[in-house]
Amino acid sequence: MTVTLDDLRRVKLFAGLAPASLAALAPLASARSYRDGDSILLEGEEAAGVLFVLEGAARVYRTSPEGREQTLILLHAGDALNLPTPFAPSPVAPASAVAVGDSRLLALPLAAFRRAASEIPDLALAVMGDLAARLRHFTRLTYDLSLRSVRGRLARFLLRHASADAPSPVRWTQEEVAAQLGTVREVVSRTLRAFVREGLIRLDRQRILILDREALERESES
Amino acid sequence: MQDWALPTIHPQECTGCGLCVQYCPTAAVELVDGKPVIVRPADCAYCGLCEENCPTGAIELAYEIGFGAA
Ligand code: SF4
Ligand code: SF4
Repeated sequence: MTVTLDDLRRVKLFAGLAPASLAALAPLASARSYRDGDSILLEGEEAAGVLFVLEGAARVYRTSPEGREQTLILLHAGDALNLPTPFAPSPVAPASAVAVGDSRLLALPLAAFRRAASEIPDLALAVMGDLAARLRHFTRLTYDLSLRSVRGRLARFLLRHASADAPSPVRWTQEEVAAQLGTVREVVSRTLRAFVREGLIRLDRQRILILDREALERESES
Repeated sequence: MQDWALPTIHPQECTGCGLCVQYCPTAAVELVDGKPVIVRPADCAYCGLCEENCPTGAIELAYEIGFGAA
């Protein structure tokens, strides 16, 4: 699938690049479409290129030996998927990624991306900015997983994903929520029931409705 | 998005054991050719017992998250 300059412009890292730089990258880039749930990258495999989400979304996760999944990050259109790879000592992927919804990704060969970053200072700075944001994300995630209780994590998840706008809300299964929180479905189910009993939330068929936002916010600090 | 959500069934993961049918309090789900089908959608209470009792995670309920009044 050919890659247009417009495709490249959708990548946040490339937003500030001069048209000539973009035009130089375009012939090296390739794009690929994925259906919802398709595997993009497998943990332990060598990544052939650095990947960027053009459309849709990608979920990066790791699987424990017992088969439990921990979602590490959810990436959206414009985000880089494996930005450290071209600069890492090994191209082996430390985590897996799957498409969330029908998605399209752009790939650039590792060497070509490294070269571009060494030649274009604006790109090098943008890469550092992106890596710094990612470092911050993983610092927060480490704190969440090691120091916050499941109740706290679930409370924060509900607050963060509650949408006031009804038209096209995202639906989450308890299994998906568990993968986000680093726990199992049964614990999510039990904690939701506890929140209902305590009057923090209400279940209205397929809706989880937050009733006591302040109490849930207090809970999310635990 | 439809307002009357129903459990999602993943036939590839389903072993056809029928536990979901056995535990469904309203008989909304039945096995058809060995796989579960929500045959009486209007009767499904979205209670989640099918999901809870499915050994393979083949039947799932999805939830929207929002703000509401008590
Ligand atoms: S959610 Fe409850 S009522 Fe609906 S099919 Fe499953 S067990 Fe039956
Ligand atoms: S309980 Fe699960 S595996 Fe068994 S028939 Fe129902 S959906 Fe299939």
